[in-house]
Amino acid sequence: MHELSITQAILDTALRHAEQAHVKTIRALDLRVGALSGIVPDSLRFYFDLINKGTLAEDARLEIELVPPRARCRACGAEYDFPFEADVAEAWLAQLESLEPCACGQRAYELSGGTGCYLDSMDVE
Amino acid sequence: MTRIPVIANVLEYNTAVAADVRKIVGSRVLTLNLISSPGAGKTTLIERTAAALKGELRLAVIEGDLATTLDAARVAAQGVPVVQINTNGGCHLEARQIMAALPQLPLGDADVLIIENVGNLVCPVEFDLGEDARVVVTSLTEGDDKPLKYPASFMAAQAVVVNKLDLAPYLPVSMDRLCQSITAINGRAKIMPLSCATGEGLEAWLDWIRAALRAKRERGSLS
Repeated sequence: MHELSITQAILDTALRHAEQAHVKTIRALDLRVGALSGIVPDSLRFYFDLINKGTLAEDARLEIELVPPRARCRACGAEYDFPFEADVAEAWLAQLESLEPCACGQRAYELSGGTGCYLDSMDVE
Repeated sequence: MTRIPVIANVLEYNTAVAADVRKIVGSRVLTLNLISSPGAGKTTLIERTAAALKGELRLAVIEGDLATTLDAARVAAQGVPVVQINTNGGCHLEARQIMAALPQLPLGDADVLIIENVGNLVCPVEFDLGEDARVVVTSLTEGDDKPLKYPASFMAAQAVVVNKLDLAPYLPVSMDRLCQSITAINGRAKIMPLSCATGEGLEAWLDWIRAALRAKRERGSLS
């Protein structure tokens, strides 16, 4: 449900930048979506195809990269990549708990990042 | 075909309005954004908080629901100024709705502004309402797996209230597992188990509010 207002914000952002750059048409939008953001890529595509009619982005594709959260050391704040499976909470919790100790010697992590929705770039003509 | 860089937060419109909300609310009022699934006890927590802090701290409340003014009526019965926002199907509150509600509240006579978000552990996450702190309310009847299933809500919280503690003897729920999951997602969140029904644990929650208000006012006077 909230994807409609987010998709509208994506389209507004894209059109604003396209007009500033005086482009004729937008071919693709490169988006980064946090895997924890609660924003569903299929839903974005569905709404985008409904609301882009009659705009510079009418034929644009959404290229969506899902950004996973990282593991942050609770003692020193250092961050590490770890295998995050959005669908299997038991699996990522086990992964988080079985990470090697941090460079600072501590071994207690929490999640960091993996939220938000960013328009990185656009393919235009 | 050419590629042009943009690098924009697509929710910047909401974030910008949230910053305006912070300015209008000012440095004397603590703003809390309460997030939970439906039925966790947000409104009851507000009722208990209002009753317990009466004569000490002045509350103002913004209620968010898809429909009805039922919650606003409950809060108003506590003698607390309240504005009801009906989202008419919208699954979360946005900063612009808070901005529209602010003129209807006596902020000059308030110490704590509590925003009760729409009951939903997913959609409100990405929408900053201009709050100083986010509080997730979970309850034992929801089971101990909600933090793992809805990590983003818990990740963004400064405090987690675990309500319905009085029902613990009747439920197959592990408080240890619940707390361990919350800590794995967010080690900085203060976890406060309590029962709005019996009042057990409520004092820790009230102390947390008092401390958060004090911290904000000290920050405000320094800046």
